[in-house]
Amino acid sequence: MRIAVFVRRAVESTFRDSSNEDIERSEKVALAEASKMIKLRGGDVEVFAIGDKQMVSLLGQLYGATHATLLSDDMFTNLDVYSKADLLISAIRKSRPFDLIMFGEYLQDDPDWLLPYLVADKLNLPHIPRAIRAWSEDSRIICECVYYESIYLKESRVPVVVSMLDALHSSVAILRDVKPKEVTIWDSKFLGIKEIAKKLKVNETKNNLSKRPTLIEYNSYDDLADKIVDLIRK
Amino acid sequence: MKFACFSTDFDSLARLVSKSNHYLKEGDELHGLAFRYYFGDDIIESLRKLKLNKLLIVTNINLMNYDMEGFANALLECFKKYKYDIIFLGDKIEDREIGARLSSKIGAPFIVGCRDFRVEANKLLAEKSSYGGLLTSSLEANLPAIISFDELNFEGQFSDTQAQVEEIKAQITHSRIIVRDKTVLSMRYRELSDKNRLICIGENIHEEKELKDINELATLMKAEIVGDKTIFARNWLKEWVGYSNLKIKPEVLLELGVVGDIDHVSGIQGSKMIVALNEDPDSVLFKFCDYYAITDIHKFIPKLVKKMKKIK
Repeated sequence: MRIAVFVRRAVESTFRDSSNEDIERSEKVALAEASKMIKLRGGDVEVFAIGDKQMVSLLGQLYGATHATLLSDDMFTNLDVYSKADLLISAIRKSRPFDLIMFGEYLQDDPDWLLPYLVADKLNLPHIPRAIRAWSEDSRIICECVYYESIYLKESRVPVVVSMLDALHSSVAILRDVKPKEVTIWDSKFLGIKEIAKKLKVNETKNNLSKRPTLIEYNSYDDLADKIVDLIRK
Repeated sequence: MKFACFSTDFDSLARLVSKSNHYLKEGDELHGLAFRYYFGDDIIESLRKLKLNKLLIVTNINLMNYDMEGFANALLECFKKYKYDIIFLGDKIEDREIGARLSSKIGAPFIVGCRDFRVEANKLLAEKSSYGGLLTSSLEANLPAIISFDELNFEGQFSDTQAQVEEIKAQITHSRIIVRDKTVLSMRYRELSDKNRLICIGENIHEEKELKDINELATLMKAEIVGDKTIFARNWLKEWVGYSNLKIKPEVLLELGVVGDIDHVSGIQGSKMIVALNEDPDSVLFKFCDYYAITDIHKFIPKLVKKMKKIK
């Protein structure tokens, strides 16, 4: 079984400095589910990422991946989600065919949220979004998906695109492989891309995080309780 | 200009039509799009009373249940016929999924979380919010475009006259995704009814017996209890607070033992005051709240309950 998993740098670092470089939690869930599937069925998990060469060490240590490919080129910086989808499709087509292409399910207002939907449509593949568990049975992928207050059991024949929510795995630890794996770098020349057209032009982005959190200092639990009650009753 | 509205939910569609009418200028046309077998004849009749120039009804038995791909293909048929400049989609999760797939099919950008927009020289200029409002961006794109608003805070408005109806025949095949089963999650805790004060519990509330104290605290605070994904995963609550599921905007939000992630902090952005208590000094939430304290919540919660009782 051949599984591709797309990962990116976690978006949390956009707002606050973070020394722990990491991928999105939902992508770790995708990697964990992919890894379980190949342990049972055999095969390999190939990770794809778009970014600068600083991502090599992060990709090399990702637990659950058997190989990693970084799509890196000056031309690949500041892409919109549509050009990211085109780029990823070029990379997928350059590889041997995959049975399953997995993504993390990003927030719906995240600029990259559309990525799995675009990739699925352009490759004319079925897509199962909002999966909280995924496994394989014969030539089918089965997923539990959550919508509001219901869980749906969905299945599709391979090849299929699945995007994973981290609803059942919010404590996914940062797992790192002890022996870093080789990371292949593909650039525009290798992929035969001469030009990338964007659909969306971002004129300005504003960070609205104006809150400056205040640490409540206290000398006893009673003192802290007084302070919390004051805040609640304000 | 030609506009169209679609949602998988009647209320969402009614609010969307009202909001869309707000952007219409003289000579513009607004169509509603609906699927006969999905909505049923009664809802279709109600949809005719919305402020629309035309209601397009796609009739195909394969559109009886939600199917992202089939629904997107049906909307594509409507688009092919009328070449809309902008398609407005509702704020339901399913609406946006359909929009994502449709965006690829018609090659139009899809702006999710749109706060406002205008059209100048055939270009769409939009304000978009991301991560529940933590970021806002000004975007520029060519028409046609698809838009899903950040908030649909409009009441559904109905007209005295009925919209003209046009039946659209679409070739929609069976879904490639089979739904084997559906489980409606049962409630194991308190109903969310009062949204002014909320207590959100998380990862570091380890045992269900601790809920007894928290329940008492909620009663004393006149607050309702919600949880993060770890609580959902333990099957203590049937949904989680986060942009991906339940967005909350209380006056006071007391977060107990919640570490937090970008989904959670995006889902609570509308809260007036966030107070976070946790023993983990590296909690992500501490960076996104108003007040925080590093404390052993297991020892502290009984003290807080005692204090609240004393005040009462």
